[in-house]
Amino acid sequence: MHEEIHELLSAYVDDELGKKQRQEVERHMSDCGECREEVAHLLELKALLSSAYEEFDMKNSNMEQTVMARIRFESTPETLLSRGGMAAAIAGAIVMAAFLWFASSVITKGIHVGVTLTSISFSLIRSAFTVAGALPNLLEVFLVLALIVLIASGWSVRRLLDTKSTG
Amino acid sequence: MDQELQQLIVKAKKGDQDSFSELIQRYKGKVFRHAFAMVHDQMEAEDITQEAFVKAYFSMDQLKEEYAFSSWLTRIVTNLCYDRIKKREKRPQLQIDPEQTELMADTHSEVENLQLRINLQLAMQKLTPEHRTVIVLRDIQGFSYQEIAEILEIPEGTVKSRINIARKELRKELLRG
Repeated sequence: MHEEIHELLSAYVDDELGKKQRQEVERHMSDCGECREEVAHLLELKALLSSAYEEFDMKNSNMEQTVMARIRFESTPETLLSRGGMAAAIAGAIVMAAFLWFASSVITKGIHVGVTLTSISFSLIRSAFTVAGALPNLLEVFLVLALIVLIASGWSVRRLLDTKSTG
Repeated sequence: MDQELQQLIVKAKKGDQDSFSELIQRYKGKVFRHAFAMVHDQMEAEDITQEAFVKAYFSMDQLKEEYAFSSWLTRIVTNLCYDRIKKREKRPQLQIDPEQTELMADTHSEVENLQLRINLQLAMQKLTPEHRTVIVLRDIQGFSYQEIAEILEIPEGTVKSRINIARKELRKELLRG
């Protein structure tokens, strides 16, 4: 009980307890010297605190003028404009950063696709050479085929000319 | 709140600079003492005072009820003090102006009394910013627990226990010093 009441003494000296709790504290204090002493100490501390700072004052006796001059300065169109300019610059930087981030991702993807396509092309060419290298007498076969195509072409031209002269 | 003060706040909210200047005149001492009790540095406290009023002027449209001006201004000062304390690299040293000390202490008993106040200020510096704040708001500024809860945006029960702990810490420091 004593401990519970003891914890309420700070709020008691501040007059921040409800009626019921205040009565409980006062009833307890009538029999408890320790709590009465604690309340006296708390009241002394409160009085000391309220007086400890009251004599301190500002050295700047023109606080109103200083503050109002600063307010007027910060309200001038130039300051507001510079603030607006600063805001615009920050917004611009954010937009630019976002664009670069987006563009860099697109460019990176583009480069990636290009590299992949080039790699596939090289692979196909290499495969074609490998297949060609694996076939025996490829050059000879190629030359014979070319000769056949050449003879067939010559024969077709001649036949065309004959048909025209007889017709 | 008296009618005249309410009118000043209403006009200041509309951008009337003379009315705002009058508000500075009324509240500057209170704001300065709050800041000084938190940072224990004359120049820094004056700087915070100036900053608080400039910030208040440009945020007047955020003040919903005129009667809450004092609490609202105190919240601005509290936040500025927290910011300053956070930015500090090392613990502040208590600064006592010799001229002010002479003005404050003419007799032997006053010298003793002054020493007691200096000890208290040193003890205050040992408290955490949260504990120092509730002591300043309650015992120097005189706000109720409910008002402190609103200013700091914490439950009233927390205010009650924080003040209780802060006073115990303060007394412990005073006995140690």
